[in-house]
Amino acid sequence: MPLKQSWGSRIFDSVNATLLIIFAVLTVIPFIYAIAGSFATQKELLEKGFILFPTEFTLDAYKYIFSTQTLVRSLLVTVYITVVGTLINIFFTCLMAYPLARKDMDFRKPILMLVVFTMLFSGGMIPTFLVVKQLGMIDTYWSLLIPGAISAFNLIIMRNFFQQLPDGLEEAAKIDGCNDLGIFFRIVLPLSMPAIATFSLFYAVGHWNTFFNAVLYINDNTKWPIQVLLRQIVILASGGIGDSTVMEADYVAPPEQSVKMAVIVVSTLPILLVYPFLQKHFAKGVLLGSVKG
Amino acid sequence: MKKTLVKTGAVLAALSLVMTACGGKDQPEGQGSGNAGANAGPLQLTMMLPTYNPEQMPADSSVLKTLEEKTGTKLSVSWVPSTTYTDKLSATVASGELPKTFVALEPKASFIVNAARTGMFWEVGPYLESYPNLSKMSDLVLKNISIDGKVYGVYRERDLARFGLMIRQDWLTNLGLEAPKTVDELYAVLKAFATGDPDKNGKQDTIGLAVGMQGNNIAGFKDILVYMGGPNEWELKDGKLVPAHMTEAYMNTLKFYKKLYDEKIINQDFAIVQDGRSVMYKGQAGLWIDNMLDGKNIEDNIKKVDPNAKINLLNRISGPQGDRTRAGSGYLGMYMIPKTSVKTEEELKQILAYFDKVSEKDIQNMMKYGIEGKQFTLENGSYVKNQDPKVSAEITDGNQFMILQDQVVNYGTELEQLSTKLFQDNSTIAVANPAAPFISNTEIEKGKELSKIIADATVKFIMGSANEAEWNKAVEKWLQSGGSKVIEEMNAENAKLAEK
Amino acid sequence: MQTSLEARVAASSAPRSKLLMGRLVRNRWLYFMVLPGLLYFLIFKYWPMYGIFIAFKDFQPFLGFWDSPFVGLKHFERLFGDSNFLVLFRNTLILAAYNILFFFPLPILIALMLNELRHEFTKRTIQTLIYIPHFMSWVVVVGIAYIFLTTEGGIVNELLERYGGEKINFLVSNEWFRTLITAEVIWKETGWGTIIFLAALAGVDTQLYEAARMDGANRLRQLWHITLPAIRSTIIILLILRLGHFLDTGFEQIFLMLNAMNREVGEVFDTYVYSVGISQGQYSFSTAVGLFKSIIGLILVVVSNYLAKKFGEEGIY
Repeated sequence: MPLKQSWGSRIFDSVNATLLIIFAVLTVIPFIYAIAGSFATQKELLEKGFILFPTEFTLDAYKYIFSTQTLVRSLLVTVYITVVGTLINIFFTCLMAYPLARKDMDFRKPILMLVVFTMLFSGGMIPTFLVVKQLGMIDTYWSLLIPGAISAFNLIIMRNFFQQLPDGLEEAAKIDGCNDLGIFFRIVLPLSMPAIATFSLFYAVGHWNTFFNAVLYINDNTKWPIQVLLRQIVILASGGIGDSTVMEADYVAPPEQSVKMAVIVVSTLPILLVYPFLQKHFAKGVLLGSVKG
Repeated sequence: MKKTLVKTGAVLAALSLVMTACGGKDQPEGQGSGNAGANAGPLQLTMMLPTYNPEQMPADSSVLKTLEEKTGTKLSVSWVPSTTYTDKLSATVASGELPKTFVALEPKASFIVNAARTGMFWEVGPYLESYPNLSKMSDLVLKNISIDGKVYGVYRERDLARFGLMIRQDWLTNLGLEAPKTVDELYAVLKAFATGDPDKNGKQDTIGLAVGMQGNNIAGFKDILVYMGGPNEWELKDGKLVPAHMTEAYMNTLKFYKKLYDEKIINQDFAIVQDGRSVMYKGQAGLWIDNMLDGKNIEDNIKKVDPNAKINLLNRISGPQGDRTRAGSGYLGMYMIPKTSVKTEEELKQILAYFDKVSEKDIQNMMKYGIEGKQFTLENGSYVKNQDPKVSAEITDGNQFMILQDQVVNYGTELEQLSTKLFQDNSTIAVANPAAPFISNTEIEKGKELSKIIADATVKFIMGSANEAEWNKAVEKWLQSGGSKVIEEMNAENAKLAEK
Repeated sequence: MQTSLEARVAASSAPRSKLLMGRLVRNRWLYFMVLPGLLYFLIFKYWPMYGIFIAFKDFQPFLGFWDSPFVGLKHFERLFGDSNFLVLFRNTLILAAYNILFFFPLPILIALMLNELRHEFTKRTIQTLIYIPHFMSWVVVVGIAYIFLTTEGGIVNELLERYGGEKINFLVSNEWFRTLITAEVIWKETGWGTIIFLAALAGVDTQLYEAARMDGANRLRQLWHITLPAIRSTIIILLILRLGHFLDTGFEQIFLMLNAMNREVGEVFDTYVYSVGISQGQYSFSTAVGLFKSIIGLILVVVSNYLAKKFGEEGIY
């Protein structure tokens, strides 16, 4: 980092930092609201509507949600799906993306077109359900792990990242007697940590938010992930009676607002902690050394 | 480009060969396995039910175990969160992978009607009379659930007319007012609530009627429409069915609401309030009109803000045609039995026998309150709930199993006892929807779009962004987009019935 | 005669196929690596593809996919013949255009700004904070927007009134609808969108900056000549992929923001299909609408990919 900076550069830096801080504050408000709300009383939330700091602290909401068996169980389910699912995703995505980034491979264009086509057209929910059913995955965690093993979107961007690796790498490795598999595992993967970190995050967040597939594929409620519970509580607390199309619905006393907030906090915090942990890999990308412009 | 496409085709073809080579060993039809179980041992009954709670009834619940013992059935329940129930059911129906029985919350939804018409479900109507409890089912409600005159399921009973006023009694007392008995008095009370500082805090911060959009319907609108002499959805006039929004009473109700809006007697943001009850909870409104069963919940919630709050229930508001109230459909969803998973008539009868047993008095009460000595105790005849979360979780969503509810003992609070009494009183003055048993194909296909036209125009009129001429234009649009066909089809059904 | 013909055919195609064969053998490990992924796409994406045909049928679950009656273009006729079709199409296009114009560039901008931050801790903290809203569900975000913007005691309107302005009915107006939708998306997703660009920026060689500084290039020039070109291909790929989903406006957010007073500008394909199709179980019709959207997406992807390649970019295939 240079010691001397021009005035223009300094003004640029401070304006830049100020704008970013303002933006960060604006975006973080809803989460602060959720945290504050989770400790507040129903009375205060009803009267003020919006608070950033409760005047009267209470732990009732947390006591309640941890007294149910559902919360901890579904959190564990989600953690399991997220960890195992992300490993599966990253492995298969990288494995497929690398050959497609190699210019010397035949058929890579048709294969890519096959992949892109699936981003635009899909057979829909029901035929996919039937495939999952025929493979015997219904009511097993596999149904949440395998049908989304590779995201076409991530695959294409991953391939783009691999393409930016310097050409000379492979030649050098081949001379050293490595086959393509060896090049991939020993050279390409270690050099691609920023990309792997990024896509781990994308996939992990995707698994963390698993909701509709779980409702569709899992009949056993002890295997539900956290989002199923979260959504139910949030919608009920926001005034949904469950099914608004049903005229004769029995009204259900909605969960308190603070319970809703507490569930939001508990279900969000763990995945938020993943990002700072992965961030250090982003900086390592500098080691890549070369980039093709 | 062309070359790439050809190559793509080649890759596809090559791989589909690989696929078919692997796919040869198809699994034998393992689904359902119902037939084998029908004769041997107890009935194995799989079912799908909505759950309205964050926690579900555990599979080893003592209540469930007792239910199994008493009905001689092995139950396996798959719970689905209420907020996604329709999506899941729709997908399950479409995939044909249904359990042996499930609850259809909205039996007239097009996917249910279409599936029923193609013969997907057992017609249970003719069987009902051979069961002691099921034979007591109401003809009126059976007519309401029928599809083309056939009964495809067992309905879950609810009181026929549950709507009424939930009013802040403490506000009435503060202002020295009597409970309203007519529409005019109702207006006067609401006005006083909005202007007379009923909460005695010295500020103009209250409104009369809390209004929200309950599933696209303006809260209370249909009820006030009936109080003002209007019909319940459809009016039968000189043998012809006319939709509610084409009657004079509808226009009067629109004007009534507009007046309330203009004079700031209802919350000005009602068009974006999803659940009007939230306005009540804040202690800012004096009246809520809906299912009176909710009165206790509303009172409990207001008490968190205003400990002196007291809710009273009213059911008789008289208008040009005397005391009237809106009848509901008398059921909340129905159990249906698909032919894809229940293959024999014998098994069907076993399942109906299960439903019959569930309607026995002691099981009705058990599914409502749990087991005496576990989920609750009776001390000198008064009901005491067990507060242990583990024990009370065992009865979670138990009422989802219930069919008939006619012999449930009411252990409720004063307010709940009162609501039961008023439900009975309501049934003597209830106005039914004459078109409830009929199905219009156009409505099934386009009903949602059509009702949106009217619902939007209603809100716009009340908020003053549309005048009477524009309202009429919306009705015209409704007619042209399929409404006139709906009227035609409904009347044809009605004529068919009249002939019989 | 016959043998010589065969021989000649064989001889003429020999060099090419030999070359191909040779490459296939040499790259056998690459094909081995592609195989699991390819199988995945075939089983989970192409096998269910037959579902598209129900757009041309009246799907009846009890009859099954194959025995449901074929109705040709009936569902497309219903869609295009609907008096609302043009309104829906216009609303969807405008919202999608707002999204591409106002939202798409923002994550790039924020990523570049973050990249210029010297202070590592501040940078990481801001990064972490701005990505939080991505985890708030739309129910919560829209709920907060309501609390802020309502005329009944919402902060924004209170401030407007205090400083001499008039209350604005943001939530029930045609004029504000698109602005609000876009602003909410920006608020919720910008931070999340920066991640991929930050990863791309991490790959930029620092030596290039050193060299540029030696040449006396100021910060803006460095940005323009080094940083931007480095992430150009990522931007273009993301843009092409986004165009493939051009008509997907996001269902939940719009559904929650819709009301009687803004439906004229707010109803889009996704909300329309939900209310007439999915919630009513009209599978064939909703599939038809989906197919229509996919075809538009396909056209946009093919055209934009062609243009990208024409300008010397990689493209997505």
